[in-house]
Amino acid sequence: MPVATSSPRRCSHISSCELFPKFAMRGSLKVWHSFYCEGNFENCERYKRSLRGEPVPPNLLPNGKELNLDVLLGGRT
Amino acid sequence: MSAAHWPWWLGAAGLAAVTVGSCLVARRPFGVSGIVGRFVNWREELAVERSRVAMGSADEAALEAALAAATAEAFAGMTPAMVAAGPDAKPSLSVVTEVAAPAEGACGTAAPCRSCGSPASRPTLGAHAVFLGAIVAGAFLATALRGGFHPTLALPEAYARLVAPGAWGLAALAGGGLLVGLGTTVSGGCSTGHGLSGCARFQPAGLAATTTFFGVAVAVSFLLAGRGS
Amino acid sequence: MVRYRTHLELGGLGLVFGATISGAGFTDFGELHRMFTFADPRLLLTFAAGVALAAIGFAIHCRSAGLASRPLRAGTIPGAVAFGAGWAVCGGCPGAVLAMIGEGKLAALVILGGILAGTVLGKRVMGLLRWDSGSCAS
Repeated sequence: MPVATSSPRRCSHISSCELFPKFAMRGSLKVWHSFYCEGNFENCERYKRSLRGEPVPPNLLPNGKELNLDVLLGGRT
Repeated sequence: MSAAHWPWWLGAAGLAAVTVGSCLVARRPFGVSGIVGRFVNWREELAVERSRVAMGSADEAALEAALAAATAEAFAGMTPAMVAAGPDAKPSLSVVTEVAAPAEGACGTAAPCRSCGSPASRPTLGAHAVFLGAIVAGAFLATALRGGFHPTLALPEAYARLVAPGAWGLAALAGGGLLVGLGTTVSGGCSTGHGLSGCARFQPAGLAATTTFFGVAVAVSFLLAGRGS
Repeated sequence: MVRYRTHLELGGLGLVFGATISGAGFTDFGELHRMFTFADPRLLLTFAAGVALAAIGFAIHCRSAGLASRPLRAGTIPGAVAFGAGWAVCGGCPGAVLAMIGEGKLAALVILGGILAGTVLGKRVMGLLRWDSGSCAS
């Protein structure tokens, strides 16, 4: 059923978040889940930007920092 | 007049084909207003899209390493208990606890996910521009094929009679359009996203919104009809 | 080809959709008004049967498609009220307005301008009221 049944402290944007599945890639990354997605999601920069009606970059981390894409693609043109 | 239009069953088949086809082939729940909304912020959308392409082309290991580095930086000096407590000490959630099963529609793993409406299947702004352009083209073809394509700036006769002719009519068109844009944005869907797609999937928002906008449209239409007679 | 697969798929869907709402008459103000005042059941039947057929299609094919759910949000009902009023007055929902332009009813460009302005306004209103759209996606 489409009703949210899990913890009340669960971000409503999880199913459409581009980073949420990436944080599941490795156990140590899941700290983001418990800290933001299933914790204090109102403090997530992605959530806050979405509330302001702005597009949310896929590399924007919940703490407001951005993953450096140039470094990520380093060595490739 | 009705005679010039498609019978109900043909129109219904077309609407259903597009609604279900959108999920089957384009992997998106069908909805027009959300797509139109993307073009309002098109500059920011394009910038976001460039990042998305870059991130999608990075290899998994590099992305994982970059995320791990960012994680170490973000949570440096915090004990697991502090992390679990969160910035304002909400009820604890152990860091080592596995995260609950992902919500419906979410991909819980790093594997590429192409389920309908998943973040991984978001079409580009260009693909959505093609979609909007194709709606214009499809309507043009349907009109031209029955020999009815006569471009005009005039207001439809029924509209001029029931709402207003001339400049007032144009003002009402703009005002009505403003309400449509405002309403679909705030409501999160229009007659396609809420009406067709939402109702066919028995979504609470779709059913509630469709009942509401249809009811209001009926009331306003009776007011217009009563005013005219 | 693979790169433009989504373009082609969405293009095909757009063509069918544009032809359908134009052919069915959702772009005709008089027809729409007759639907809303229950003077002619044809469009209503088109819409209702479309929903029913789509529901059957979803039940058969998309059971495991992982469709994102749409729960009620703060703006769902107030937004629908504004949309319903606007639709009845100007005769254009976002899809139908594009189809009207394709049919050569160029006055619909005025509605399109209104819709774009209303969308900007809607995003502002959501931001001011801090109403959750339920998604980071746009």
